[in-house]
Amino acid sequence: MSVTETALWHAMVEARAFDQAMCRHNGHWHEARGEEAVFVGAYADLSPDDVVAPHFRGTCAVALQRGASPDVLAAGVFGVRGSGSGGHWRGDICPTPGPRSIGMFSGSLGTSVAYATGAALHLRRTSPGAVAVCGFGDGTANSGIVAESLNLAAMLGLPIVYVCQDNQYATSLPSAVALAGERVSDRARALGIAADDVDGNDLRAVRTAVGAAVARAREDGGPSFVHALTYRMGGHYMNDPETYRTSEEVATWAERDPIARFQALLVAEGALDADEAARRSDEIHARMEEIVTEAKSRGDDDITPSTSAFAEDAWTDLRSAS
Amino acid sequence: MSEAIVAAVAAEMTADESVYLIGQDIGVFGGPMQSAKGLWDAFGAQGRIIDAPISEAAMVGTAVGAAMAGSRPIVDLMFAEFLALTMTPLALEGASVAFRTRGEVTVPLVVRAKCGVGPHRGHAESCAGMLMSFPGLKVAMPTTPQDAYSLMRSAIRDDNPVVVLEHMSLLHGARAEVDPTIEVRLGRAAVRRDGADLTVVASGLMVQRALRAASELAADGIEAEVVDLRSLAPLDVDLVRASAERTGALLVVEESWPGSGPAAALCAGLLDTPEGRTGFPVRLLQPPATPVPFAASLETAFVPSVADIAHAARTLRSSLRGTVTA
Repeated sequence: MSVTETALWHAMVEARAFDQAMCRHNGHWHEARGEEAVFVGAYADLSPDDVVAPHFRGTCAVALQRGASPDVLAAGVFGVRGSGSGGHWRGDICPTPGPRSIGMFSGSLGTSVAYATGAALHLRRTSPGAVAVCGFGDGTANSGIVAESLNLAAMLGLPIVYVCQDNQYATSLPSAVALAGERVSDRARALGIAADDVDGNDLRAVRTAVGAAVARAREDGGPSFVHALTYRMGGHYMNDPETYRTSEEVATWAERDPIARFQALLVAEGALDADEAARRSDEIHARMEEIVTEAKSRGDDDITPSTSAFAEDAWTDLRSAS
Repeated sequence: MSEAIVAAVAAEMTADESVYLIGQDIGVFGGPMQSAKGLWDAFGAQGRIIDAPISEAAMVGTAVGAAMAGSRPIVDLMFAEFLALTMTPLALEGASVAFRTRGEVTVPLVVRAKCGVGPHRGHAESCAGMLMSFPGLKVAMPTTPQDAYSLMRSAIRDDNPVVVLEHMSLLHGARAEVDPTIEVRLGRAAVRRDGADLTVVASGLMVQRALRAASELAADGIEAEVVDLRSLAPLDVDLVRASAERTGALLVVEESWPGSGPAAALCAGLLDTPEGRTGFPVRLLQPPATPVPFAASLETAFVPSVADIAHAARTLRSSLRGTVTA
């Protein structure tokens, strides 16, 4: 099973289109524009048996990439009819929770890194050759539970790849300030974890680095750490005043847009026709706009609350509802 | 009780390969206070006994992740005072997963934690109230070897996260034969002593002290019914209410802090009736709202004693004389 580069270009455009439609219609959205090469590249070559734990910024895109319906995802983000959780939880940060897909179960950052590490422990015990890939931001990299998890993964030699999606800002705090030390990847190296630093706006670079790390994990070679430097083109959230950075800085990084860059490469190499790419891109954006606006206009009439948090009761509620 | 807990863990690990144990010093060392005695020899070679570094949040966090993926982890957290380090993965998030996914993803996870005043000086805090504040988290607290075995087995088989509080004054206390066929469901209290004059409800070490107080009271002609909560979440409010309605008075005895905790939750549950009140008086006997003090004399004064319980029971009974009760 090998995913073509054209398919990955398509996945990045879909990710951007869903993201931008959400920016237009959802005041609570956390924009991921500019970071697509990291999350599309990192999860490009996994199988359904592998565990994914994407960074929240890009988690819906990873779900799309793994076959989720944009219609269900959008309903989950708005908490309306057709939501995957029946309106019980946030679809923007936890779109498709399951035994092989980890989301966030509160706004706390860092815990999903521990969950992915635990999933890797489960995989090593039960499914040799399967791996977990776990994304997190530069802000989350400073969380204590991340340090604990990395140490445990190294100590137990777990099949996991940690991908630090460094968009250079933890809301407003620059990673250049907050990540003490020369490279965040040195923290992994200090634990004996194989680490790599890549251009996070270069899809091929991310895919190659994560691919090598995944291959190592599949062969019981233990955990790896990939630091992908990218840039958050939008604010942390909609209406972020962005008083902490200059428009010149943003403009400089706009020149390195990962989709435009990869598209130009594919066109230059003859894998993609420029006009065809523009036409398909417009189509995808129009389709996502349609899906997102339709989902937003939906009611929540079929959404009924579970009355207990206990698993057996949640199941009972579910059974009685169906 | 400690051996019964280990026996239940061993039996479930034998029956179900998805069960593993992680914690500090649970390898060749055998666990703090022998909490994992013999398990390393039986399961260590299979990689199912994981000797963990001092990383409580990651121990519980990885266990939550492994549980969502299909394992049934048991975390030996050593002491309940370490629970606060784990509350985001365990309680805020792990215990919410079944609700948030409507039961499609569950977190079958057990956290073992020693607590309570006793031979092991220090580490007394149970943090019971903190645990009880989070929906979806179950909390068991056995007081007999049989319950220790049966509740631990129920906890391991449960699809929700369950914290098993192991009271250090009871862990290596009275020995008794255990019948592995006896089922004890989480959330069911037990009447330990029948009585007609008042009900004393307690958990952990306070059950043992309530039973001793009941013997003293019997000499004075007061027959106390003693209820062992066994589970703090869910709380068996119905059994406590039925007992108190029968005896006409309720004394709640707790070793954990006042404020939010078993006593407060029990009172709230008892008031949740169509009438909005109980048909019997309720008195609370709890430690003061301070950290558990260190000096032996201060610690003794902090926790309700047998004499304190007997005195509170007599006071409650005497307050009933001359009054008409339901």
